[in-house]
Amino acid sequence: MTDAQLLGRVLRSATGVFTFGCTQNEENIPQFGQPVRAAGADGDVYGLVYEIIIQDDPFVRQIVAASDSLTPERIEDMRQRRQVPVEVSALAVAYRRGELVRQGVPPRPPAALRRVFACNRGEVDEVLGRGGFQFMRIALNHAQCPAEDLLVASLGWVAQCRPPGQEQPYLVEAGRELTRLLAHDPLRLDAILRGLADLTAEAQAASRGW
Amino acid sequence: MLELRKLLAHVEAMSREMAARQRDFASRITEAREKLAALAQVDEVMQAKIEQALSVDPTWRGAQPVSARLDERHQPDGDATPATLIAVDGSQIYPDRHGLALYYLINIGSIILRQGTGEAPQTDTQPTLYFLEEDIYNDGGDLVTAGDVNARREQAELKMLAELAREERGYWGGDLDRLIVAMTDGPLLIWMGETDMKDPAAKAHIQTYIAQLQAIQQSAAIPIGYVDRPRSANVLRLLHVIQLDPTEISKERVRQTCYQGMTDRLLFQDLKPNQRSAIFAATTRINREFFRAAGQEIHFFYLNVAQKKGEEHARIVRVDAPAWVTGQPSLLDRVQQAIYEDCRGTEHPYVLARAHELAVVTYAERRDFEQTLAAALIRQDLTPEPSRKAWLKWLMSG
Repeated sequence: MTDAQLLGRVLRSATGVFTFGCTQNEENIPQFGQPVRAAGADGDVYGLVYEIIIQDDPFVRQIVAASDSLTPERIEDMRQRRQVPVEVSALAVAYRRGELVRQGVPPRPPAALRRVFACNRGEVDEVLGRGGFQFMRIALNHAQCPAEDLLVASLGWVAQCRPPGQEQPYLVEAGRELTRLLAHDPLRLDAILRGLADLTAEAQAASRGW
Repeated sequence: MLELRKLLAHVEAMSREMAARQRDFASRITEAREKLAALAQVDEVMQAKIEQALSVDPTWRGAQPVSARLDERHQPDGDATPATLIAVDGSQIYPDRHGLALYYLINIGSIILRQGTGEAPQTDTQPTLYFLEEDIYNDGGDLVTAGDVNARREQAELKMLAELAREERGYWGGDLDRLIVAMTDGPLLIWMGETDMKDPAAKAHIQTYIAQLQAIQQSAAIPIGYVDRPRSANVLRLLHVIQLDPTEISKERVRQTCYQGMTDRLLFQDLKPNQRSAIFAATTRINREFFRAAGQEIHFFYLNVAQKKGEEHARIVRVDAPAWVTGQPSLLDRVQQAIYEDCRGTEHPYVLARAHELAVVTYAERRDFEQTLAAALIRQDLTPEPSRKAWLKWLMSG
């Protein structure tokens, strides 16, 4: 993850969700669960990527159907130049107003064509790692996003951005918070905790240098 | 509203008529091909008949053979070498006296595709808004016509093509081995009526257009006009004339071709994939008097760009190129290969399809533009509104 990597620009937004378009350059397409930042006039809005749609149109289908016509130049043209963007939707989970960073639904969604960046490690740790677990409640309460998978993926991102040695304790703490939030829904809780267990094992393996 | 039920009988009649016409053409085209083969050798007698046809009817839109035989078929040997393909296309919003304001807009889309590099093509659009009095009124003080706008668009397209060809030659460090094909969607030859050609403004238009062709030549790039589904019948008109006895050649007989309604495309439907016809020159006055004089006489040939064999799959197009291109057989082969390669998978040049996509102004984009224009006019304390007629049309169209 590099600093201020521009991913795309906002196509449409609401208070809880913003959707941005980016080119089909594979390096530029964010990953599921990745924290992103939409730059706003009066402060940034932070979101978690929960849906990535790679669009097509009849022209793309024509080119794909004639496989012998897929020259590298045409493939790059389709990916980088044609106006068929990748649509990425992010769940708004935090915002910044001046020095204040707060987890919660932003007071105002990012305007159309605002730039959207990949969050750098410092931002992820500041906004989500040290900022509490309110973002998990927002994800769990959102009807459209696949909350269980999203939380597992996003917690993995946040854990990676914690200071060395803090990854596993962070995931354990997140698990405790989820147990409280989902006390009434053991099936969802079980799905997320199984995912987190895998992440914890991976974090342990990484700390041992495996 | 269109009441389809009132048209059903006409639609049926039309479909029957078209089927009958196709059957008629199928039988007559076989005969035409036999004539073409029988009278294929280009000789002095044939040339004399062509000259005679032109003398009795200077507007005769026939074909002057460039190849030695009318039935020549040619397919380049070997594989295509990577080339650069440049394509330019334009679209426009015509002036509308019922609109918010008097203006017109030309949008030029361009693409440069460098075969063999693996790079994404270079694409661009250049919109230009014309709103000054000298732009929107002609010398007679009348609002410019669609034809005027089209002429301006043609100039803009070819100017862009010439600029891109020059830049592209620079991109390759002046390496003349790199083939650069500069393509337009449509004929390379300007269409102009006999009376229009006497107009000084029209003459200036022709000279400017030819100057751009010369600029492309100076960049050692190849200007190509690509005509999909051509309706032209120049070769059939030639075939008609050469069957006449010299004593029969009159203006009336030249015009009453025995291949009425048929097109050259049918005549050459039996070309094999990547095979071209003989080369011809258009006999139009504009080609003979302006383009030829400037060393840019336009030649043409028919080419089958289909991948599949068989007449039922053939996709016959017309390719226009200046005489200085068709006069170099090995260069022409490379150009033909480059065009054919670019049609792979699409049966139409990929770069032309993309240039069109870049140039086209959609209905939604036009609406957005007019909203932006209306807001700007309001900021100037103006009251932009369409005519009552346009407004009511808009209301009733839902």
